[in-house]
Amino acid sequence: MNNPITEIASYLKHQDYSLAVRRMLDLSLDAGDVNLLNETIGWSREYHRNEKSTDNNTVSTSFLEQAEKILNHANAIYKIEATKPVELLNVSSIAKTYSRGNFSLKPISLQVGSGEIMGIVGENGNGKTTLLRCLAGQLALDKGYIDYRLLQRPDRYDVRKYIAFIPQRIPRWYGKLRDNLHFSASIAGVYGEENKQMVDFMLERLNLYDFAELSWTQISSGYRTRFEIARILLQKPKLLILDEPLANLDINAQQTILTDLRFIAKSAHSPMGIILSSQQLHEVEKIADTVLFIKQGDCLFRTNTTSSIAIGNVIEVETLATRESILAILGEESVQVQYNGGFYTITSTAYSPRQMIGKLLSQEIAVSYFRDITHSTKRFF
Amino acid sequence: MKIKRPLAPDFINKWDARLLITKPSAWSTRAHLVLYYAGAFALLITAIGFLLPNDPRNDGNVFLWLSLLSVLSVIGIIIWIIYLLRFNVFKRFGVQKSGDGLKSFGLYFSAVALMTAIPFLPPAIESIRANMAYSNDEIVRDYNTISADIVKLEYDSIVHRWDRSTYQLHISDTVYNESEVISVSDSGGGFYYVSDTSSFRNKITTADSLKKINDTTYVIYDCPEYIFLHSYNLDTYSKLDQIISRDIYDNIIRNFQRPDREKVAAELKGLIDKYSLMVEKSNYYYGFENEDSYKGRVTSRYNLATVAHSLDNISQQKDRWKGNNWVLFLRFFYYITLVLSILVFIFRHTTVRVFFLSMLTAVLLAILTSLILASSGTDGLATFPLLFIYYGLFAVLAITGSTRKNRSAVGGIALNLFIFFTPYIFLLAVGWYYVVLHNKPYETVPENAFDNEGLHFVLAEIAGSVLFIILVEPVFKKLYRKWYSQPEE
Repeated sequence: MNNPITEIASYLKHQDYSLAVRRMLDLSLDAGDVNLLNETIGWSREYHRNEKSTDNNTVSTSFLEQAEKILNHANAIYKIEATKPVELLNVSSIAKTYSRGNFSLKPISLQVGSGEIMGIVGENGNGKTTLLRCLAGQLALDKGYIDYRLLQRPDRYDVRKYIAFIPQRIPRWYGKLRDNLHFSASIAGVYGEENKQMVDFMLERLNLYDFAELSWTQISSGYRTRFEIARILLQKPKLLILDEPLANLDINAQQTILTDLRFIAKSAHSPMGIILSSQQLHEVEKIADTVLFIKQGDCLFRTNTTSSIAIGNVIEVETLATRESILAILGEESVQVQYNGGFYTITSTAYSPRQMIGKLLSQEIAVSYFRDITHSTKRFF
Repeated sequence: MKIKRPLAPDFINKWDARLLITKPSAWSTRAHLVLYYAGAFALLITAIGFLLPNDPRNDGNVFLWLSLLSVLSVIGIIIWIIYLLRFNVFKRFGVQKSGDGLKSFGLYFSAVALMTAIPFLPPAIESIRANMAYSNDEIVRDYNTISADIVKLEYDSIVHRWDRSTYQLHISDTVYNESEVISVSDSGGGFYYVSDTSSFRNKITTADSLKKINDTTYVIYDCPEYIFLHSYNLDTYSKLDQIISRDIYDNIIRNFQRPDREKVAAELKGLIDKYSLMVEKSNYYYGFENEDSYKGRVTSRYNLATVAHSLDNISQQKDRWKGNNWVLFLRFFYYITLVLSILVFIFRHTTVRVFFLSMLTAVLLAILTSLILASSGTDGLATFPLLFIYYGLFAVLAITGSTRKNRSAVGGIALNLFIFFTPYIFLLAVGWYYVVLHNKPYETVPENAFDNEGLHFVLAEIAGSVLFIILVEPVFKKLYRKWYSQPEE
């Protein structure tokens, strides 16, 4: 669905109200209309109030009427404009070796544009955080260079302003959450009424309104992550780098944050590039345009490139069947089977994923989980 | 925005909220809150100072207040730094407008100044109350009246004999320098001492009475002691002069007429009561009179020790800020404020680790310098070039540190110390210059070399502060901007 208004109407029709509200907020911001944004913030607040007071996914008639009114308002003023993506970051063969310890990040090159999401995956201690900190300007490079494409002869302060980095362990902040958000907006040059409106928008957009008057110790680590994202977004960086943002989130929150990150990156109002590292491979792969797999400081695999075309098909299967029975069905000469902590990873050049799972099911092998990881970085774990 | 602060009226909360969304640099200094709370506290202290019973005749408890408020001010500054200075535009790589650094420093200075000023309030209030209770002329007039009345009443018991001393002048065989040197012998007392011409001339100028026998022999007469109330410097800021024995002799004794004793006694009692404390007798040992001596008995009879003590307390409280005293207070206040403001400024632009390492470095350098000076046997003169070498070194390291590949602690420490010492660099230069002059042989120093020493120090103080202000934006902020945003490793 290219038209966001149609998209939102569809969400409403199928009672996916939460997503409809979030997308409507994005649309209102993109439309750049103050009145529309205020209306949508009020509408969102009503939705969240209602959400707390009822157990089921029902909304009042007035909510739907208001939704229709806002959609009509948006329809009248919103123009769909395709934003031309711009390159934000051009990284050329950067490498880093720590003065203490023997870990080295081997030369890596990458490019990130506006509206693009790049996932960095890999096992612990293999250089994901090092790479992200190099990109964020927190670590000095031993080799290579980084071209911040939108900055003209920047000093390092400009670079640090250009890129926002959210570490896995979020540094403690002080005072009320709302004050921090106002402060973040104002240090980015958003003053007065616009500041208030942007904070209200962000509180609604990330569903933080009920926590606005709370402090660090009064909110959970998941909400701290959400808050940190809200805070950083208000500072309007061009590139957002997140180190393990899903680590402290429950499964629903993970899905919500990832979806939101996707929408934020693709925002028509201010599209940004996002680089994130995570252990949640499948979740990251769902939203990322490119995924880098890093092992022992080296980039072993990159999706969406000619070099990443898989040799052989790989599936992941969870079953109580033994390795021998699987091999007996698929043929020892045609497949390789690895037992991987509850899963079997089956690699084959002879069969397609569909054929492999079809053969197993036809032999009445009980499969409780199946995934085609042929084009996923998961096959390297 | 619901920002609730204890004891803060609505307008403060509104002001705070407005600053937050319009002027983040100013808001993050929290100077407005400090000015409000410290201002309110200062008003409270002022009100207490004026409402609490106060008797300028008493010793007062101003130093207790001073100590208590100094501790509270230090606590206030610590609370400000720890709990209020948590938001930092610079460390969050926010938008830095031109002049923000200077404005922030000005706000730090104002906040620190107010907190530093609070301990000075009780002494100031005490002075105001003492000046309100007693005028400058009043205490001198009362002192004079008491002294005169005592003499009138005790006329018959006072020994009115003038002491007589004969001074014989001899030109000394030894000539020191180029000045005339004479020997003076006191034939009456039988002792001998050497004086120079100016001392002797001073002696004859201030003598109560002088008789010149010939060109080398003088007889000097000393007026009897008619002053029984010993309190000094009461007339420094009065149009009247404190009377001395000679005045009493001229005005009362020379042509003595019997006074109306009852009237004089009543007047004297009134004045003594005016300056008597609640206690029966002063606990203080005042004056050097032996109680068994004649003067001791007079002092005791009229409770003069207590009166003198009261007068001294009153004059001390009244004149605390007068003359050059206020300059001393001002310097004390200014330098405390300046040092603390610069420390806050540094703290806001550096990492916590490097800030404390800088303090440690300063202490270690002070110890090292002392050891170098002590072990090398050089005098204090060597301190100045050494301090200039340190300053130059800090400047070089600060500038090179900001161009390094990564953020080094050494560069940060040098930058902090370079900034910290900048306001005092002219003062050091002037100090060095005058120490060199003082150490030169007397004859090689021009006669008027020290005429403007005080002025030069004042100018150096002003120039140092101005230099600091000038450098805040174009140099210090830029160096911090480069250093702080460097990669950490």
